[in-house]
Amino acid sequence: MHTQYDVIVVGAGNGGLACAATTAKAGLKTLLLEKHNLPGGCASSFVRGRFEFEPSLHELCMVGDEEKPDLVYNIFKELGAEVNWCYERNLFRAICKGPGGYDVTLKAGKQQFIESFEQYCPGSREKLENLFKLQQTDNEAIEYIYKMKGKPNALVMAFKYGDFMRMASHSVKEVLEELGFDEKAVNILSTYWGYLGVPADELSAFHYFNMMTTYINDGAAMPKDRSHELSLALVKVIEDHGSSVWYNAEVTQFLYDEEGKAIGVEINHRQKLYAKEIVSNIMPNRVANLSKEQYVPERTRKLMNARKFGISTFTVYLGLDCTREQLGFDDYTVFISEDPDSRRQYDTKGMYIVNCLNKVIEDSSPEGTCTLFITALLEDSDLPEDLDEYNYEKYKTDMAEKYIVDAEKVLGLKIREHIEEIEIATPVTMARYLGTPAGTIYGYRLSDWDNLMARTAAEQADITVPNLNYVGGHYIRGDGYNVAYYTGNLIGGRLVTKYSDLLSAKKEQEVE
Amino acid sequence: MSAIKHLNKMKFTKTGPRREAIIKKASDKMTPESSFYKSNRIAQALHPAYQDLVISKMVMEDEVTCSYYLEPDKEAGCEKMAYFQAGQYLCVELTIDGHHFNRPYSISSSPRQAKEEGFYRLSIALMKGFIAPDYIRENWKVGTKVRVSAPLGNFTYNRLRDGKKILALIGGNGVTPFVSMAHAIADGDIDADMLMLYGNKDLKSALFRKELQQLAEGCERLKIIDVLEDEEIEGGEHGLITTQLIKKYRTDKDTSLFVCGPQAMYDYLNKELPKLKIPQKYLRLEIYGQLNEPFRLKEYPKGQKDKVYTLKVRQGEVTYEIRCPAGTSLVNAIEQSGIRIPVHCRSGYCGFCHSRLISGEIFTPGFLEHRRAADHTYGYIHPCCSFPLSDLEIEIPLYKN
Repeated sequence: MHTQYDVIVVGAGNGGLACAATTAKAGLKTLLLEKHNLPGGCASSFVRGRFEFEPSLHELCMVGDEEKPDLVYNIFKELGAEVNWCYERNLFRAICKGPGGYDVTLKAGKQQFIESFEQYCPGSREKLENLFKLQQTDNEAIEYIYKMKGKPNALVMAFKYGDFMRMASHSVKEVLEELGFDEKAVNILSTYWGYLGVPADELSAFHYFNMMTTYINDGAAMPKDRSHELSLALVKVIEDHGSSVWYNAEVTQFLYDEEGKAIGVEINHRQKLYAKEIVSNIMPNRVANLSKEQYVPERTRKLMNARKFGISTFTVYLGLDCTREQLGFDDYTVFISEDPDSRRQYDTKGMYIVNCLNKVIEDSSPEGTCTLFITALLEDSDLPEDLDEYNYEKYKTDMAEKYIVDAEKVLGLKIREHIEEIEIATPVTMARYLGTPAGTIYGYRLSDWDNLMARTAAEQADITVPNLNYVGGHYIRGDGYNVAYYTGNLIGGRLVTKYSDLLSAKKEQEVE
Repeated sequence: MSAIKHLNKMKFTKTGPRREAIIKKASDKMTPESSFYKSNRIAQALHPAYQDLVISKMVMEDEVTCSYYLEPDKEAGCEKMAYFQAGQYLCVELTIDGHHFNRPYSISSSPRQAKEEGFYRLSIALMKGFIAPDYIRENWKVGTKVRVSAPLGNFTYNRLRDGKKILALIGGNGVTPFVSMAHAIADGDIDADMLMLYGNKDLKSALFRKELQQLAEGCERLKIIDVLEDEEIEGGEHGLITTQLIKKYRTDKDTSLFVCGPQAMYDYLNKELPKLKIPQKYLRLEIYGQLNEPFRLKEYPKGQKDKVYTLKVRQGEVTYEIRCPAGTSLVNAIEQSGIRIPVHCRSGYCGFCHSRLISGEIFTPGFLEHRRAADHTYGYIHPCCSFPLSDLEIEIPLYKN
């Protein structure tokens, strides 16, 4: 057996792409394997008629710009991947129709946010200032923890970063109530919960506000030419540095040596490939399915069994034969719900989001047209008992109609008569294209016991197979394009450090 | 002073131990296969990577068209066929002289027949002098095993998008998806009326005319108007399917045109239809099919016709070097040289052959241009509708099955 590659990355989702780009750029011979015929996983696009639809991205956080670059901007820049970023400076509009309801439009930028919020919930200014201060402390604490290489001094933590410890171990709702926000304010401030898939009474306050404040500070960003642009930009980095991406290359087995160390993969039931390191962008559950039982350690099995999957979605993509102005839709993102409480929204899946990309990127569809993108949360377990392949088309069409009709009513729009193209995705679609169990798009549920900090602290304990690494939304930082890129870049960077001797030797060879 | 002082900070120190305790308590059983979940089961049933079928019956529909009835090949482990939407097609895999090809054929049977009786019917014109029809005519018999794709294509009726009425423009062999749709309407699986303008030379060359007639007699939502080039009959139209005819029969605004026929018909409609100013949402053209003579297009650059180029093809760890005449699509040249390339629609639409153009220049006609915007920026092409204008190097996806 000879080792053909330094690194094999399985799955060209956001995490896999960022990881392979990082290792390839540093000079490690990298092979990225993708079972689909396109890169990106969720980060892709599809064409129907004269429309090219964004399949999954609502708004990327932690991007920033040239002047004030944030995490994602920096990762792409360091890798040399060029993206034409477009920005949305409004935060969102949230409409709650039921009792205790509201219709609010919030602005990005700290002061603008406070001003706009104050209109709907007078007397919130000081509480919001306190919230931003807490977020600032969180950032300082994280910097300190990184500086201490993940082993902070307990006394320093307790005396200096007590608020971080509170934020990291309490829910969004607990923190907001403790800050003195009333019920309405708590509900409005919890609007983004769907982006992490766990309601506000369970979701880590640290994690949520970390995300929310970057939306407030930076606004949201989108690539000009759908997420396909992001994925191709990263593929280019990999290929420009002499590494490869293979499509239609489905891993059918993970290979281990006698000691249980990961050594390679088999693709398409025929070709075996070996590498010093294997990085999986596919979920540990799938890796276990594709591994001989003796190579799946007890810890891994227990962890998988203890966890629940993250949510999936029901999505309607509409290409309309009228402009956004003709339609009369003046927002990019509108959150619509019946009940203002996020727990009840979660239990009943009673929340959906309407997006119009033309608001941010006017020419993202042909002249005289616009697109709408309706997303509701939906899980495998929500699918009707009697759903099968025969009534599936009817099920999804009926459900799409329900959302379209409701959106028409709530937003006062005429949508149906303008539908030129329609596509409907469900957890079944996600299962088909992503290959995830139950069609989850968010990896594992960010349950209160398995939140970002808990995962990060246990990272070393959870890694049980030597030379088998994980990246992506199912890893330590949870879901989201931004953190998938982050984990990919993080793990890729670790491998570059691990193989620094090899890389120096390669460089010397080149010089000779 | 902390603004959240009542929250117990020491809870943070319990995070780790609590997580460990929950993991410790969990079962150590192996994780279930994906097929344990309904989403994955339905996805697999609707979109298998391929289907192994066997020919159970053959019927000559006219002098050149043969209907092949395909059933699941249980010996090969295929228990049931994938359900489909009326109007979809299958890609059929063919191995001819050791070379692998595939061809898209519309399913002419109904979704209900697939579900309840367990067969697909493919009705194929076996014209002489063409690779695939020649091979099929000589080799496909009852009992022949055939590997096909999952059902594919978007030439299907959607009640949220399309008009309440369908005006079908049918040119000859293009009737096959409409036979399936007519069945689905008669079965109550599609909720729409369909008026079929069925273009043929004469009545006797009208494929499936009898089957459609029987369906129409039993279902008032279906109606056939024969449009005959060489014959005049009562209730029919004489000549070709023209924009005048479309105007005449598209009496209700909420009518969607569904078009399937020979390339000449598309070429005519692509030119003439815009004059009718029918909103784009009411126009559904079935995929164009393999374009073979790009020279006949106005937009084709001059002076290329007789050139032959060198094509370097990377696939995984292998690089091939083949020749490709200017008038041959990259996919055809690749297949003819014995390389397996994943391809489905052959019309630039589905993107299954999505490949990277490393160097060189290609021609893709505008009406087959369905690439994604970023593909242009980063140099990706659909080889099924790309023709070389210089020596080329491309990287194609692996062939999976």
